[in-house]
Amino acid sequence: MSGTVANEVVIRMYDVGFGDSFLLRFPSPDRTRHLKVLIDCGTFAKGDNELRDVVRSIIASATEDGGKACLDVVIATHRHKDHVDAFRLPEWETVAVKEVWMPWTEEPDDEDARRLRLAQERTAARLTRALAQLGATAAAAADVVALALKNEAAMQMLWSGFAGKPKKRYLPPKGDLPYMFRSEALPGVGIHVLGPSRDEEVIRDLKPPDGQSYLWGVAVGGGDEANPFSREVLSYLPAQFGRLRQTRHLALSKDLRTAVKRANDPLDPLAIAAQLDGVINGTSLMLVFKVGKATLLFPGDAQWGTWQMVLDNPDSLDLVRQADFYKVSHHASHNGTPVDFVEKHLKRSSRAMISVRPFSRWPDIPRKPLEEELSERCKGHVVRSDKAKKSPEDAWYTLGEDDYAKYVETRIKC
Amino acid sequence: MARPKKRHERPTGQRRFLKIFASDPMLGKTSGNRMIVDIVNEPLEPGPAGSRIKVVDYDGARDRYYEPVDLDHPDVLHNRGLEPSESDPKFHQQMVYAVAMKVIENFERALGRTFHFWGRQPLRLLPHAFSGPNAYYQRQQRAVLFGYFRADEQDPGPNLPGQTVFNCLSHDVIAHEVSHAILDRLKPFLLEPSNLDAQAFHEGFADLVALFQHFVFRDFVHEAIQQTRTDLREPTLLVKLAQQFGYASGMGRELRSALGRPDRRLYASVWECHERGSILVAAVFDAFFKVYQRRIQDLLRIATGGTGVLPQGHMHPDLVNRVAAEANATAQSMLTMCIRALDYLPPVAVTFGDYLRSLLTADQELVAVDTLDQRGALIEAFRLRGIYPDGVVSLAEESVVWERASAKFPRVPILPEKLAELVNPSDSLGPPPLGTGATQAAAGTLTPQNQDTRQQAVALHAYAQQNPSALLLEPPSNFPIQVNAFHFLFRTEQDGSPRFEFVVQFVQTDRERQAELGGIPFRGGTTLIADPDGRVKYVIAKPLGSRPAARRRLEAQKEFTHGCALRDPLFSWHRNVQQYERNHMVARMNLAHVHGGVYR
Repeated sequence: MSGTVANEVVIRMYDVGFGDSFLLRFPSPDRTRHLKVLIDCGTFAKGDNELRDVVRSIIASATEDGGKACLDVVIATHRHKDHVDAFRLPEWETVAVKEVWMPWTEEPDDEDARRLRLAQERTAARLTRALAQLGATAAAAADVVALALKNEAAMQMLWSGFAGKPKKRYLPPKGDLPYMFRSEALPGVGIHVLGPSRDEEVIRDLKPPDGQSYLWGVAVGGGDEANPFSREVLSYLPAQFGRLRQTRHLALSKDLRTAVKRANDPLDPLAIAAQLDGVINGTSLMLVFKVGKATLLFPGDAQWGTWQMVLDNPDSLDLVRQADFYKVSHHASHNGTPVDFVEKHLKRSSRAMISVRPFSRWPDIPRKPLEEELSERCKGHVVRSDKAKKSPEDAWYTLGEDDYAKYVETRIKC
Repeated sequence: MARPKKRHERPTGQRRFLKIFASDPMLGKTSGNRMIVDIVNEPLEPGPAGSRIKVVDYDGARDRYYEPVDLDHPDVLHNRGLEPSESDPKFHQQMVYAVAMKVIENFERALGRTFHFWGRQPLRLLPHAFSGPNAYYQRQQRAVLFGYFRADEQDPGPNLPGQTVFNCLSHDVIAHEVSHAILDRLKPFLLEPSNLDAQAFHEGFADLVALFQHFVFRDFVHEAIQQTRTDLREPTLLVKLAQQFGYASGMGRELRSALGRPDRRLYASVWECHERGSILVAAVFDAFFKVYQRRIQDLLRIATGGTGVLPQGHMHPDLVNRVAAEANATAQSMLTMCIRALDYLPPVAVTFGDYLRSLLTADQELVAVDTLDQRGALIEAFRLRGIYPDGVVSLAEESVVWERASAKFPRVPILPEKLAELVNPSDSLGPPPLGTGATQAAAGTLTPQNQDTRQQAVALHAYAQQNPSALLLEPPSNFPIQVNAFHFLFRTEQDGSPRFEFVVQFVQTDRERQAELGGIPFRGGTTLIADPDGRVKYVIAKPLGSRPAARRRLEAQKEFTHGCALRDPLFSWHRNVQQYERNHMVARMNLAHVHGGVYR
């Protein structure tokens, strides 16, 4: 039976700045229509108007012949601003969605998940308060933490918004990975979940660092409020202490006192912010879609922990080795894609997309050497959302534009 | 407190008795929490300031000094020190001093020599240095800084929410940090993250000292034995570390415990250095427990008419007493063994496997007949955790111990008339610089203050220059050879006869590799153990250059560096990544960060 849509998957990457938004279209088994899957929709650096334009473009693509907008599946890989921010916009309320997929860490009733979310929120809130006090010196850290903040409205939409009362899936369920399933919303598509793990040890690693111990000095402040003893306890100013016969042998040099005072400074705020960010990236859904002959790898913002688990698991490794398409993890950061994967496992005929726009504070994202390695491995079939100027000669991707937004599309035979 | 005019009117007993909290103040007045420890009685200035430990109560958060305690004041002496109190900083000063000195004594007993920190300067302890739930050793300041903080408001455990918690009142935290300082004095290159085990070894070793020192506290041990009916593997305070600290900072449990299940996967997969260190702790504790069981078997049989099965109800106090004595003796013997092994470690790039080899060699040297099979228990405990020494053919004791040097090995020059000084060479003035520190002159690391030791250093340097290949060193034309440390040690053998040994450490440094190793140079070195007549017994080496072992090690260090980069989320966000990349391993030497959990 020949249908009206071509036997190919269409992968569209929107230019959302520093963020992700991918719209996938799979042919239905009878090829009469497209199955539409939205993976993430968020940005870090763009304004609301531009973000709204991307949402409108997605909604327009999801609307067929004057009917109602309908997406078969909406996937939020993890709760970072640059992946979910757009879901807070009211435009989504009228879009009918059949299923919403999120990592298991978003399950409202799961005790482990609830505890993790709580801990993450607490750390993020504490850090924000502390970093605000530090002011400009901590601006870089504050930006990283901002990724983890104020996403509640977006999460509410994913949990209980959209039209059509979507079914929720929190992935993977308990059990071994990779977890394979099929969905009524996506007939003919095999879905493999490679992460995040529900292993006890992994869950422990997902617990965010304790912001309290890092930023102590900021939170407490100096002065007499900090006095751990009662007023009756005798204490001396350094000048006085150094003069007394009884105590001068104990007096520290000025340099030493300065060094000790420095112990009161918070530890590198960027280090803790990066930890928190890494922990949330560790909750990223890592998915492989199999449609006919085509295999697509969408790792969200997976970092080392998830990758290590995948590379160590023969079944998961086998799946990522088949990928015809790779959504480069975490905006092509250093930690997002292991060199081993690119050099040893990624298929040479693969195509890769990087969704990113450089942000001055994070000059290593995207990481140049990684871009170069990917490009070499995939014979140049790598495109960046911010740099795609025109379609290449072999036209492996095309530039598109509708009334609202620009995007890059690639088509893979299935 | 007015000081009597004549300073020297103080009792001249051998021992000084001081009160401390045995574990944490959290336990308050629970039985056995307040202890009296006895330590060597040295003359003390207010502080207390002695020859090895100087307590300086400077609070960096407030830029104030608290009044120092005078432990030689007659009132204090008569009462065996100040009463334990959370609200009196003078008691805090007394406690850090007492516990630190106890740790030093344990080291001295095991090492068979007097211990001094760099340049014979005392280690500074700052019991209230900063505000924060952390405590760490700072090499540059030759100091251990303790923080104080308010207990977590939401999750304080048995503490009061918002209560001020003093890290300096935790026996375990003090013992742990002082052990770091001592280990750094003995093996200054171990702080460099040259392999996955090096920093973990620092943490694990420091925990072992704290843990085994619990067994000094009689009441504590009695209670644990009564409570667990001799099964010390049950989770009691005896085997948990830093209980209050763990609760107060919201971790909801003690910091670490000695009860890790044997699981081979852990050694292969755990990277965070405290967690990895606790694998080592669990292995040694496991061996301890086996030996302890062997030692109390007969007691249990005697007490139970031959069945060895304890009846229901309380244990007889006499039995508890005897079992406790065995537990104490086993712990002391294990701790001694753990410390003694340090002399038999290579000077650089230590792994857990090397440590197992050193433990066995040191013990075999001194205790020829291992009636309780301590060594067998250790091998088995390490094996169960997947820790194998590199390059041994089997796990039989004779192949795990370090290989003996051949009888023809060139003799080490030991200037006999200098023997007295060599017992305790005054050593260099400061530690060798780590990481990207300045390049040192060839023989320049060791700068003894005393003429005789300098001559010995020069003789050892010349010896190494002449015999590099026998010592598994590279020719000095490739890399300068440094005499990093040397000393005599005295020990007592099983039969009571004295035993002398001479230990030398040579180090070589390949700085060309620094950039690809995140700022850490590639180091090689040899520990040499000789009889007092200069006959060499062991050559324990980590070679450099083109030897296959060296090449393997370099590859491993590169891979480790790369692995650290992959796991370090900072990499993505750093402003100047090139610069960070060149130094990211040096950054890992910041113990404030390591203890604060920046690296996972």
